[in-house]
Amino acid sequence: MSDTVSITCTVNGEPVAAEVPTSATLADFIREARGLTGTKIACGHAVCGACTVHLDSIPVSSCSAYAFEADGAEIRTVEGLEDADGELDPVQAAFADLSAFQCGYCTSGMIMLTRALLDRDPNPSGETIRKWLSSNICRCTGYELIAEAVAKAAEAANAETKR
Amino acid sequence: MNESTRLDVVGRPARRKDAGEKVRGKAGYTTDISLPGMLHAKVLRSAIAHARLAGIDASAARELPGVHAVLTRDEIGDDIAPTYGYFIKDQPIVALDKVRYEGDTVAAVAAETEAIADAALRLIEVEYEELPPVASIEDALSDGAAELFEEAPMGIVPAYGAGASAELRPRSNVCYRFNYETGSPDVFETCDHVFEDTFHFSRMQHFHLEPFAAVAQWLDGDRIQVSTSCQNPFALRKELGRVFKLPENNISVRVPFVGGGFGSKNNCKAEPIAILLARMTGRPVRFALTHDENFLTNTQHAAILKLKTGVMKDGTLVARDSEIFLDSGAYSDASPLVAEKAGYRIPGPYRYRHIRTSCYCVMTNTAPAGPFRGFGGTQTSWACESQMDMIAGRLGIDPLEFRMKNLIDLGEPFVPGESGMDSDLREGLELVAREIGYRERKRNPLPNRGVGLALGFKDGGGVNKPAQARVKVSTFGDIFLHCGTVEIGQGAHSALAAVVAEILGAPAGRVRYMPINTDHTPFDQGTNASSAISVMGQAVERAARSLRAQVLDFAADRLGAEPQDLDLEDWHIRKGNEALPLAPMIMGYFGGTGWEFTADGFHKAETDHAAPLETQCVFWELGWGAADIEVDPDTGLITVHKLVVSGDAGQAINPLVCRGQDEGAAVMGLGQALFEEMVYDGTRLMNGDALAYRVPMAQDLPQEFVSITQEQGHGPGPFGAKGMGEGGMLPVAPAIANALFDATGVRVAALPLSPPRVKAALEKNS
Amino acid sequence: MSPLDQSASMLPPVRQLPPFRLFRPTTPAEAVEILGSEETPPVCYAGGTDLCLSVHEGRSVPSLLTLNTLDGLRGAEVRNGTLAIGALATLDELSTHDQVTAIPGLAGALGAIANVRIRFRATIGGNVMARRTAYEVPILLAALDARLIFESSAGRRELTAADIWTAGDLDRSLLTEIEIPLTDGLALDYDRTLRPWMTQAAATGGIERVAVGTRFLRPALLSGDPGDAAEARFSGLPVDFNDVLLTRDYVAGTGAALLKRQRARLAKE
Ligand SMILES: Cc1cc2nc3c(=O)[nH]c(=O)nc-3n(C[C@H](O)[C@H](O)[C@H](O)COP(=O)(O)OP(=O)(O)OC[C@H]3O[C@@H](n4cnc5c(N)ncnc54)[C@H](O)[C@@H]3O)c2cc1C
Ligand code: FES
Ligand code: FES
Repeated sequence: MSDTVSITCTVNGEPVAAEVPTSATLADFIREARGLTGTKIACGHAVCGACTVHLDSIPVSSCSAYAFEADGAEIRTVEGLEDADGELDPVQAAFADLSAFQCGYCTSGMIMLTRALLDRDPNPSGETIRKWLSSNICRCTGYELIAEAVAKAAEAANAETKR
Repeated sequence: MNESTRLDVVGRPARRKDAGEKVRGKAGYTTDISLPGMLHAKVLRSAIAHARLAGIDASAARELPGVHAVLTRDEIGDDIAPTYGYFIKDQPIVALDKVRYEGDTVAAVAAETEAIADAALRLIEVEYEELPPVASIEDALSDGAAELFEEAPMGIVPAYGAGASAELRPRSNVCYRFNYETGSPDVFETCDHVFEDTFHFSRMQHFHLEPFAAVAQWLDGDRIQVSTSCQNPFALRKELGRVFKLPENNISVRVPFVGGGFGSKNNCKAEPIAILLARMTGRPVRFALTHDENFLTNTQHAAILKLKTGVMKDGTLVARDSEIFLDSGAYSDASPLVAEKAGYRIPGPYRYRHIRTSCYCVMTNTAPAGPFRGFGGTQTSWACESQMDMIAGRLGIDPLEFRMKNLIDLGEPFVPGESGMDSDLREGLELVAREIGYRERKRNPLPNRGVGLALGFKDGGGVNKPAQARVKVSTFGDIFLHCGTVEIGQGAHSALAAVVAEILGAPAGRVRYMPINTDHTPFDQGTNASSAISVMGQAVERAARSLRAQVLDFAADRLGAEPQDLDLEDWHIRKGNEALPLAPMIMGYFGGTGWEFTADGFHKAETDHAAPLETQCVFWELGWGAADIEVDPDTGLITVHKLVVSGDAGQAINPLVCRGQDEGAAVMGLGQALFEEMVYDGTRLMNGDALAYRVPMAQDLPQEFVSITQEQGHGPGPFGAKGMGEGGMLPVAPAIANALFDATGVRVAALPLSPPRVKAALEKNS
Repeated sequence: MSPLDQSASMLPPVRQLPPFRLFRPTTPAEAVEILGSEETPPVCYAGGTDLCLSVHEGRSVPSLLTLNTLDGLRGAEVRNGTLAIGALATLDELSTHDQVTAIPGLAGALGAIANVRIRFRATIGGNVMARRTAYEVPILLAALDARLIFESSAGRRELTAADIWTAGDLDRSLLTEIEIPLTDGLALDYDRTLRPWMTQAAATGGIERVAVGTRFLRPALLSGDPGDAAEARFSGLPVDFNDVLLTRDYVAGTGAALLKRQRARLAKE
């Protein structure tokens, strides 16, 4: 058995084949091998959610998943949310409009968490929003503006689909 | 000029300048920097709280393939000063003769990868000779307690003005004492009552998400270049110059976005080790601590506060005498500065005839304590506002009326020699009282439910803080803003850019806040004390006004007009009904390459010996708070039904940003009030990781959470703005404790108000 | 004052492990075989939400055996009067699983642990095998009188939830299943309003079983006749049930108060 494993996966829709150390975390792979530094590492052990990405559409802490698990999977990071023209995802736009961030270190993770919520429940209740947001830590904002941004993103996306 | 009526940019809930980068994941932080050939550093720490370092053998670690350098005390030569600190230079880069807390730095390794550095640390052998540990303030002050420092480290006491003084090492295990006195103590004799109460304040960690990090390299062998997650690059540069014995123009400090700090990221943290290892290896070195190591690097001050307050029967405050003991941990860090502020702020925003305070920095074998949002004000607001309700209760006066009677008036100096109060304190208090339904609830109390008020208070804007800013505009009207205020989340870059845009009549999008590099950025003392708008804002405002005047003078010359007949609008000169583009005018005069207008602005409060802290306070930062809580008498659990906080922004540059500051601060205060604390068992930290240490999550928010940004308009900053960001934290814990008293008649004078503590107090009472 | 050895130094949290051997078995039998035959047993990897913390704390990982490639050990099923839960079932999966409703209150309790993001990955087996006093599944399982089924090359072994604190080394065993006997009228009430100070699980169905968990102490199991006074249930609480955050008196008094509420809620079911 070797110290590396080969993986094939898609990262933000783009097919990738790579040889990674067995012990590389998903975050190492995303940040170092792929250069996608929007995914942040804070606590490093699954608590804060700053490193949240989607692994086959499930929001996971990439600091505490291994790169080998990405084999055959679809990975989505904050960099994969804007469309080809650089138009922001409604979640990103709502966070920007409501200043639902301060230092920004939790922001990528909060946005990916929110995206996962809205992918499952496009019309979340206030309670559902609060429950989901309780997965990740933001030390700066006090969460209220983030919760408002999530609600606004849902509204915006729904208005978009109705049109 | 009639900006005061115009305000096209200021006051709007616009997107922040950093919004695009931050929501796209494109904002760059120190931890995102990677340089060719970069090595990774890790440190070995002591697991013993107090010991003499008998020996270190790192030879096996040095032999490990992939290891480039091992730093122990043996590598520290005469060419560097081995310790750093603010007023007192007592913290060694790596342990020299002793270790002083569990987590103290003993050795550091630079290696190809972090994994190799980890492996190398395991090979370092250290011999410790254990010394008796000093776990707490009480321990440290007890007879026969072990001394953390047998010899006095080098330190200074700054100049103080009227009534204030300080001493280094006034007694064993106390590194600094700040004193303040005004009026005669004889007035205590005239008081109808004198009340003495003691309060305990628990210790939190800042829990900024981006851990401490620095990436350092040496250029040409004698120049340091360091990128770091730091709140005060110029102070850091000065200290690095002293430690590495280098001229400051050989040191370049760069600060990208900072992922939160809340006070901790001032002065030397990760930098000295990164720099020293970079020198030893000749390679760039990155030293990025783990988040768990934050707990071992800097914390809030636990405190014991003893207040003696004299009052008249009718509720008139007369005198306050107080003694404050701050748990400074193992090294002084910013403790003397925090002591100064805690000692100064303990009276609260009330009128007295006599004030006397002493504040002690007590050394213990625990992690060093330093600046923390509120800077001593959180501790003093806890004690002061709790005692206000206690006294009101004993006198049979309503706490709201008791406060109203004694509050300082708008414009009245806080103490003799000080600046006047720049908020109407009663207006703010009335606002939160009304929002919580204070009077109705006091009339019709519900079982186990109560309401409480508190007024957090601190002097804002730092002491004697100079700031400088430079604004440049290119031929086509692209605006460069150079200043040293770090974007740590508070939105300062956007606010300062908005001030420039407003004054130059430009859309905010034209202003770029230039990256911070001490080689080019004008001097700033540091991003702290809520000073960005109130101090730097004034420098920026002056620079922008001066630049505007230059441009108008230039245009007036070119057009044969008077400057006062011209106005600046989106890089056009407005003259009557005409709008003349500036670019052709500029190239017509300066040639085709064009020109750059440049102007500097400077601000510093005047030095003033009549002011206790040598300059008058720049602005007063207030946080009004009110809580409606319910307590479960069977379990001691407090549920906050409604929390109201309010700050006075003077003039909000961006209302959403002000709201975010107040809410973030209030939630931090909520954690402190109810559960968040560093739990020590003796000198051992029991919850030093993100899972065990509980910070507030979205689920912890009160059912109703109201934040109100007042804009009373009395601030010193541009357009009447004041600083924000700390005030919202201050009133939360005392408001909740006061509500608990209202609900149960039981006073809890220690934090956090955890179920076991509350229940024990309820049982003791019944 | 004696010189101490190097263990008196504190290593920093580990963010990056050196490469390890990786095993990706596809059947439980294969996993058990690898656990039994390797010289140093590989570290099992399920959802990874706790493993990464123990790596930070300095646990060495010479080789890793991922359980995520295994067929089976997921879901839950009522069979032969027991509810059998696969060790690899995630908390999210169990919180909405129809078979779990066989024990009223259990799905809700599992769905309240941690948070949405963690529950997608965290397995019930991992929560038990992390063997941390602050984790809650062992508290629930103690109240439910559950059996933990382990497989190793030595064969099958059954432990109670309380045994995990005393069983010693389980490095070569795979937790495969958790079995809860479905006694008559079995229902669970779990009160975690006082987390992190204390939480309490109460189960009815024959005798009353109450399990109390705190942050630093192994859960206490108190059982007896459901007709006993709530206060009496706590007389058996160990005398040294104190930690830096709470006292025995607090736990006993508060536990009794919680139990009265729990009994009332269970009676309503
Ligand atoms: C942010 C956060 C919040 C949390 N909150 C809570 C909470 O509120 N309440 C609570 O109870 N818990 C909480 N936890 C803990 C969480 O529930 C556990 O980490 C999780 O259940 C562990 O499962 P896992 O599959 O991720 O285990 P892993 O991390 O994969 O493994 C944990 C341990 O068990 C071993 N192991 C795993 N499966 C097996 C098996 N089948 N056989 C043998 N050994 C095995 C592993 O080797 C490892 O030692 C929290 C964790 C985080 C990160
Ligand atoms: S960094 Fe991954 S969860 Fe905190
Ligand atoms: S914006 Fe700083 S942690 Fe959320």
